[in-house]
Amino acid sequence: MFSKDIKLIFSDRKMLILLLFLVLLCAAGIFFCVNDTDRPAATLGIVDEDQTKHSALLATYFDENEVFTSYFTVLRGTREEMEEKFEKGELDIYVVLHKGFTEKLVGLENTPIKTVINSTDKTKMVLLDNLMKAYSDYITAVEINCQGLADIMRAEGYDRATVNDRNVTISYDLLFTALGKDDFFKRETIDRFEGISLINYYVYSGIILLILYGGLFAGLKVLKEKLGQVGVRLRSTGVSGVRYYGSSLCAFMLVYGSIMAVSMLAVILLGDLKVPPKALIFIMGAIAVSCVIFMFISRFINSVSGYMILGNMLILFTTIAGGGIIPIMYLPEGCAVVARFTPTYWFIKLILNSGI
Amino acid sequence: MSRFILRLKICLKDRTAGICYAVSVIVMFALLMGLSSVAEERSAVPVGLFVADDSEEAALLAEKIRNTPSLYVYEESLDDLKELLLDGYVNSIFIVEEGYGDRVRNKDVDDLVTVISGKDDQMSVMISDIVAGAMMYEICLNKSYRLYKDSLPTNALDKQQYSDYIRKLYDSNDFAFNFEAVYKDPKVKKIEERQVTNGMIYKQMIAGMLAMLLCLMAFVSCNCFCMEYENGVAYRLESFPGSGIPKEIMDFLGIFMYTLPLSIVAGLLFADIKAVIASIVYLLILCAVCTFISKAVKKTESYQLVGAVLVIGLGVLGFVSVFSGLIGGPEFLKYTPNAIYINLLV
Repeated sequence: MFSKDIKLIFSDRKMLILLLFLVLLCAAGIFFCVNDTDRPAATLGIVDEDQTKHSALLATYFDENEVFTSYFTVLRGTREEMEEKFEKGELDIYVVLHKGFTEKLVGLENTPIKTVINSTDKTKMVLLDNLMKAYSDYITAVEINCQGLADIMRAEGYDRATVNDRNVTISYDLLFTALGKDDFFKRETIDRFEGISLINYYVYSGIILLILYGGLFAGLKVLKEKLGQVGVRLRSTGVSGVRYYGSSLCAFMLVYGSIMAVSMLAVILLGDLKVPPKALIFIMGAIAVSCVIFMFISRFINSVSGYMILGNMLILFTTIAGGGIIPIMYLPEGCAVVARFTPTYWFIKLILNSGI
Repeated sequence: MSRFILRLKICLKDRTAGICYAVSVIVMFALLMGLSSVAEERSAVPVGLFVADDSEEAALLAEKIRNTPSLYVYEESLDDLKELLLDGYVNSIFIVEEGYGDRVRNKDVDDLVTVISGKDDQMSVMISDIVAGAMMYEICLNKSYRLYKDSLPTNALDKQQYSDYIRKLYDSNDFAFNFEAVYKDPKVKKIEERQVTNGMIYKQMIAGMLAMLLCLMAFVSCNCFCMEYENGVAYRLESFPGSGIPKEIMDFLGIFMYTLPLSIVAGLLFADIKAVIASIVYLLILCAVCTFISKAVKKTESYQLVGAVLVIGLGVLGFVSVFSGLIGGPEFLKYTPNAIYINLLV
């Protein structure tokens, strides 16, 4: 019975060629996406028109900031050069430290720094906006304390030279403090807890989607056999329902398991993806569960179209609620409860906690 | 026209499919509307906060972190927060260490806050920059006060009076330092008029899910062509009068009409006429593509296989395209169908 089921799956050669082609296409896509992420993500331009010690110090914030340097290439130049590059789409943002910036910063006038952000990429635009807001908090703290000290000193009758002297001292000290903000934090990591890159996150999510579709496919085969009265005919020859379904399940598990194992091996060898042994066991278990669930659903539906609509929507729902599209931490709390019943959630959790 | 009506009748006659269609779509829209309603709130990065110091400075910092719009703060015991981190519910944990207040007052600013995160997690570095912004005020205040107290002969103000004056400046809008940010598209020289919020990223993800939903509906609706080939109905339908291509067009328009309500509701989710038009056009294209594939493949299993890869492939490429600018992803991602749809909606 089992070997007959295997033969049945392999009987459609065109289908197998198509399957092989699609698996190779997916592996190539993953390999291409995972390996094409080395180039700098974005470019930031800085125009220092003030050319003072303070403005130079502020400009180094961008050169030395870990966030900026890990994502952006930082360029310096004149305003005209930066405008030209921006118009050509070579810059994602440029910041202008205008003439007189330092003089105004140390307590005479509050003039904002001009920044022009490329709005073509919305995600990048939002991120840059957040970084600029954090940066403005630093400058506000520096500026207010410089201004405050100067005001108090003037009120207490200190002469202009002393006020200016203390202003320069404090502004330089505070700017240094702002630039050295990384020292405020002591970083600890949990060894077995891994951060996943965004591309890999979607690749892992895609693996679960493929497993679910495998189950859907198994259910479809069983449904079509049911509509063709195959089960009834087999029972009349003495084959029990348990044996019929058990044999189909084992055949599908073997075929899908092999396909998944080959695909995973290709991706691991060619790409940057890490899959711990525990995850491979999980994948095999998930294939079995997915096949059982969809074969079960197919028992209660007599329309192929209905089964396909319901099955596909169930997969999409499971993927969304399980954090396969929007990571679990950003989902509403209600969704987070539902997530615990989805394979996507457990698979991503297993990868996160594997410490690979 | 008769072929168009016939196709529509065939679609509507399958009651099981109709019920599955209605139930699935209602559940999916409920989920997407739920996500849409919390887009602004939940697009903030979830972090854990644990305050181990009972000084006024530590309380002030905690208050500022809680009020930071780009952060969604969980405050529980340290063990519970670690559990949330391991379960993937928070990105990182910030511990305001014991003695924070004393050390800020004494200008000792190293290792004031402990950050616990996963290995190689860049996001926690970015969040630290935001938290540093909240810490900066108190640190700068104490530094400037120490300079005032230690280096000037007449220092009439005590710490409280000095802080009150600085606070007055801080609260006045005149001294809120801001960037004059302009958001501009260099290709069309257009300046972005909308307010830039974190919810924009969340809405892009919802648009991506809608694109996947439309793709799924077009794909499953066209499955009827494969089934007709398998049970011989397609060959009988070919005996109907009329030439080939107009019949095929009528078939595809029938499927399009069947799925049209879904695209209208999808567009309305964004409360924008542009989104409705984009959804209708996208569904029209998808129906044409799926009709072509189903008529070329002719077998349900093969069609399901190609369709699954099409839906997953377009979906994953669409979602990755949202972040491709940040991760240095390939340029072509922006031009994939779902990416174009997302861009039109948000």
